Amino acid sequence: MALIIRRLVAILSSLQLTVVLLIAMGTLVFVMTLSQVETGIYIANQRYFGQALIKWQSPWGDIPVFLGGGVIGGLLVINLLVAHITRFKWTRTKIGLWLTHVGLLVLLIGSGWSAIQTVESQMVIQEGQTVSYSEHLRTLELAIETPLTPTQNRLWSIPDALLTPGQVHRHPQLPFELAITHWYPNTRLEINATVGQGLPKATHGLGKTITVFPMPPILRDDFRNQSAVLVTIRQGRQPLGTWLFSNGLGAPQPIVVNGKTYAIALRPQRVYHPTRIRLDQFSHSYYTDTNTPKHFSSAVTVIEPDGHAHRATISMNHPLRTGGNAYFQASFGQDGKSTVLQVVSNPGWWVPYVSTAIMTIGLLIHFGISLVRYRRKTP
Amino acid sequence: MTKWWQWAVVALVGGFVISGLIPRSSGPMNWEGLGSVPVLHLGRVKPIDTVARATLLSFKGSQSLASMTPVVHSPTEWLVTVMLYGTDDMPLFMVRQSEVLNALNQNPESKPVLSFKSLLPYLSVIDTAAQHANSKPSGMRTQADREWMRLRQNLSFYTQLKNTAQPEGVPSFSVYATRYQAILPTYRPHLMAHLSGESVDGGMGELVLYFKQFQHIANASAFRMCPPDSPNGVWKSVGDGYLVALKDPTPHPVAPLITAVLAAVDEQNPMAFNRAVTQWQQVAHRLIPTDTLKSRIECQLNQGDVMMKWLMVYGGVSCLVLIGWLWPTPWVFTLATRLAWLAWIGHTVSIAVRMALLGRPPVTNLYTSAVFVGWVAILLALWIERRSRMGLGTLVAGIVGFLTLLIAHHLSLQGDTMEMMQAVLDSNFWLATHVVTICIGYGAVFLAGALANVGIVRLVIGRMDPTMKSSLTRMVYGTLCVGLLFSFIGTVLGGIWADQSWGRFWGWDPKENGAFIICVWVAAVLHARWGGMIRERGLWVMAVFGNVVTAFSWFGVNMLGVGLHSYGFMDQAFFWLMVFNATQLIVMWLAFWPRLFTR
Repeated sequence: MALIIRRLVAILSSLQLTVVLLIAMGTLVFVMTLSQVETGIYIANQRYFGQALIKWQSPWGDIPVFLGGGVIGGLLVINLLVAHITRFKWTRTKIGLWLTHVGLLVLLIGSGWSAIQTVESQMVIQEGQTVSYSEHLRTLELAIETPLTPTQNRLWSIPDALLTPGQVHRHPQLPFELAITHWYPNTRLEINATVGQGLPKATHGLGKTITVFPMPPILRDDFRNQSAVLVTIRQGRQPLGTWLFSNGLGAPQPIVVNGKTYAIALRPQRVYHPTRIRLDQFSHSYYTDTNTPKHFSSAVTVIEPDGHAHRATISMNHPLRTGGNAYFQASFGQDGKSTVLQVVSNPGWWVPYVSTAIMTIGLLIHFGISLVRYRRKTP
Repeated sequence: MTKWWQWAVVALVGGFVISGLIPRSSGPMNWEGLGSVPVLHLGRVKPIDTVARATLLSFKGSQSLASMTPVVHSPTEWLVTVMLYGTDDMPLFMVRQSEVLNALNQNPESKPVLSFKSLLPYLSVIDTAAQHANSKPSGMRTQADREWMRLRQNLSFYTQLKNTAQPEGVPSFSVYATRYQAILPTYRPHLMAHLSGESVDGGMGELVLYFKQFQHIANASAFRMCPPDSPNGVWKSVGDGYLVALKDPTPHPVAPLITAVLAAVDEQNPMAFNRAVTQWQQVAHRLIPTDTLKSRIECQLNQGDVMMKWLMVYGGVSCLVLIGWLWPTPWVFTLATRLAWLAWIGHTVSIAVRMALLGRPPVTNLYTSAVFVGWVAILLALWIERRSRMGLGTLVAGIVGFLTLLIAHHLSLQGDTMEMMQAVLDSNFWLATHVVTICIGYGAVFLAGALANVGIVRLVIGRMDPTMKSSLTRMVYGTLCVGLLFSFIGTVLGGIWADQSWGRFWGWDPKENGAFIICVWVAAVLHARWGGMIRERGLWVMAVFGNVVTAFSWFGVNMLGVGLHSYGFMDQAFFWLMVFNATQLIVMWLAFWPRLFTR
């Protein structure tokens, strides 16, 4: 037993393992880069880093062919830790290497943690409009809103991951329950279609005249799928009807239950922020006679939760950081009167800065020592 | 004794290159002077010569004017001919895609260059196809789509060109322009009254005729030739330059000069031509002195084509060292090294001039990255040569210089290499730090690979004494360390830039992946060396593979079918990248020749 452990420690601390893992990591990223052409960055990233094993979808079932990025990274961390504990010699000339490795550890562990913590969303604001929420690019929610006070709404939200057929959603404060009958990740919606008679259809609301044609989801970074969900709304055992909701439909559909109106919509998942942002003016310019944007910026007013307001300008390479979020100028509307801000909440933003600073110092010291040696050796 | 003639050779070569920069007149007409006049094209002030060259490149993929009728001698002369008469019969438009060529009833095998006239019947076909392509998201466009869009853009630019200085099909435009200026004083009271809302009974018919012509060329103009004439002024087209005279006492000073230049060309009158060009230069100098000077320098650089000459010098340096190895004579190495330093200094000056012209750090696009990566690798190689003096460093400097400038030359054939920066890249600070550092990293990793290449080939075809061999190994190792350091710092700086502008440090996009793979590969090589897994041969072989890795990161990711630069040229470039990779794999295989590393 002790022998096995010793052998295992020897393997885990070996430089051979380091080299193998580094090459494996390089290969993985190379293959991932190629696959990004087909699937876009997000999906490729999930496929190669989000799973423990990368599987080849063969005719005989999924065959694991390679380790996932997370596993390789984890093994590198273990390799590094075990090597430093068991066989690293603490000499003055090794201080650079030591620092580099500490930095690398912080980077690997920290970026794993920060990847979980980061929330990215987008905020679209028209000139003059004040907005308190941002939207996720990839996840949708089924939102149910009802007025609470003249200025405030009450909101229930069901994330799209829970919109699977057969699921029934209820809440003590909702007088009805929602039974999901169909979910389509991507669709083509057609009004008064002459074909597709057998396809499931809504009995109430906008969807009565709309036929839903399921489509294969498109996996691209710049493409938003038009998802659709069919929901049967029931009060107790009594079905009130089946509605169609889709992010392609726009405005929410009103449903009246017990005299109260509930506006329901399938929309990009929202993140509400205590700090509100008003767009005062959006300005952009192009290089003369070209479509190359020269500059674009948003003059905004930041309204703090306590009502305190101050002005700020957000432009390319100059984000606004407030309330734990950073707001970046991402894009703008076609009319030139609205702005698109990328809202990022990342409590681990400092990890790469600290870790890479340590690594840089380490590398400089180590290669500095090597350089001095090289100069001494060659006459 | 040997010294003075070596310096003489160096001076001679330097003089030969610099002599290309001295303006030479090629006939009675001062076309060079006209070519250096500044205009505003695609958001940048540049000499007419650059506009003409970039347009030719974009149309027919080369600047060559050979076998063209009517005969023209310079890009500027061609551009003026287009503006004056049009060149509808001239084969101008290169079409490469076989799908597109079939639709145009052309034989794809013949690789035709088509004239505007032969494309005329297909204008609506081209328009429809290009619009269809344009409606697709950029990532979904096929090569044919991009070719349709390119063709349409070129044809529309050509039509604009014919309506930039004067309306198409009006060769005697100067007569109208003179008449317009002559009648203006008479009509101005009428016009003022009209503009202030009073009804004017007739009498403006002739003015309206000219007004429409100017309005037409103001709308159709391909680029702007009238520099701003007040502190807050903007560049104006020729049409607008004339139209301002409706309110101001006179037209923009440059507008009539342009008309005079074209009229002089039409009349084949060198005296009038040269006078108008000189006046235009003087006006430009008075209005925008700095831009005028910059344009003149840029025009000289275009015509001198210095980089091409340094490329030849680098090639010559490599040959000299090889000769020195075949017939060992010490003076060959010193001469080669001196010439390499000369070329490197010239290379440096070219980069510096470019930086001054653009007000930018050295690397702003793929073309400049090739020039700069070469510059870094050559500097490191020459430094190595100073320390080892075996000809190795000089040879590698020559080879790397030759290859990177050759790549740069082909990249420059894509169009204007000083195009304006996208808003997101418009940050001199990050361009100066991140981009420069990462290019130094590329340069060092390539240098290590080049050293290993030379080492392996030399071992295969000849002998190498043990000191040279171990010294080469140390060079490869040291250069890889430098490569890792700069690649890593550069990648980190890129992350910081991304974090500053998009809020994420790392997003696994193709360019980031490329940089990551370089760092990981070099780290793997160094760890394999430290762990004793590889010795001399292993280090050399892995360094050679570093070239493949770096080439992928530098160019390969640009060929992944995304972005603007992925048409035509990139298909060809992909082929050459594969050829390069193949040579590197062969060299790696050669290293495993029996007894290569044991004797």
